[in-house]
Amino acid sequence: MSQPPYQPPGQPPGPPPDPPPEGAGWPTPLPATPAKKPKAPLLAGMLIGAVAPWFFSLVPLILTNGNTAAGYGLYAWVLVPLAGIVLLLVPKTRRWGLGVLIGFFGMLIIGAGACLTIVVGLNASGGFS
Amino acid sequence: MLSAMYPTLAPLIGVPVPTHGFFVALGVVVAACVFVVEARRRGHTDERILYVVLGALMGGAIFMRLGTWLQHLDLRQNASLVEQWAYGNRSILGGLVGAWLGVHVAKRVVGYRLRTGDLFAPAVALGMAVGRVGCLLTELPGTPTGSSYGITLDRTTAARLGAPAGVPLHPSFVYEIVFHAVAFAVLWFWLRHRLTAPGETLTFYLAAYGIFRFFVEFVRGNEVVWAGLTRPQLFLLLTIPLILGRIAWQARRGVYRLAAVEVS
Repeated sequence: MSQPPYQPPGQPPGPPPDPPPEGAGWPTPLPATPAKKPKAPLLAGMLIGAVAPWFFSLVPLILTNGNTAAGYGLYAWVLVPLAGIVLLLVPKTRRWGLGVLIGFFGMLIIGAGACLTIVVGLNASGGFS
Repeated sequence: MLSAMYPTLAPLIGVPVPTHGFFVALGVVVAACVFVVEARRRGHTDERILYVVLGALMGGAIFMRLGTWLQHLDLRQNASLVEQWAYGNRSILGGLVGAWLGVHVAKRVVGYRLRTGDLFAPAVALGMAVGRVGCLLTELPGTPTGSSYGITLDRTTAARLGAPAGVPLHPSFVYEIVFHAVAFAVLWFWLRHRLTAPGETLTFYLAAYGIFRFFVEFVRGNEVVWAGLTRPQLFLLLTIPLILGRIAWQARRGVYRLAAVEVS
């Protein structure tokens, strides 16, 4: 013997009514918001882009008392933005690259010109060749 | 009033921070804050806005150094690129042009179509007002003025900057700071709420600054190179008509309509 289908109390007998057409009072689902991308790679990249050229220029200079090693450290001023571009081109590291480049060029605007002059000037007495 | 320059902030705060760099950095931070606030208010939350900012920074950083590079028709008299990059002057006008170009290139590359001038205009104005304090404390103030409000340099500072000692000089950077502060107030508290044409506040700001700067150059003390005009003035002589022409063209198209303000 088959059981009659479950009927919720307070509902008329028969199958449930079809949902009304869209926009007739039924709540429409909210559009899916894109997932928020993490800020950490961007901020860390900015810090690296702004600080790394200094680090690689000044630390060898200080450690060698203004001797030759700083000459190689100066390459960081070219390698850091290049690294940023490479990171930017790879989809997985795109935000790192974006951060590195924003930090690097922001730092250049803030005043690396004068400071780079100091580094080059100091290095001149230590031998660049 | 100032009588000496402050290459570092050591005499003022006891820490030998480079004055010019400190105030430019502060200006960049302030400008970034204004940019973020305005971007959120206008709903520019797209990820691609970061690329637009990167374009502005790249263009600005490069052109502010190269803007003063080709100074002589005889190319051998100009500094090499490396020398210019490391030792050359940095030009605000060159930086602005570079930033403008950089933004357009970046927008084209990432396909960002919204106008962004309204985000940059108040940010640049306030950033410049702050950054110019660094110039005021470190650079040649201006040409001699007969008035009493000028900056009179002591002998040592005057010798270092190549200016006459004991003579009041035009505080040209104070003029600029006041201009940018007023421009920011006008943009922030009035124009950005009323101008309906997207992106055009930057056009107005740049036109106003170009005209203002042209006249300030007469008392700035920069090298006069041709017909009593300095290099920035020659540059502005070419660019100001372009900006004004654009404004006139847009006005004829009816672009500059101010939004109605409700009066209670």
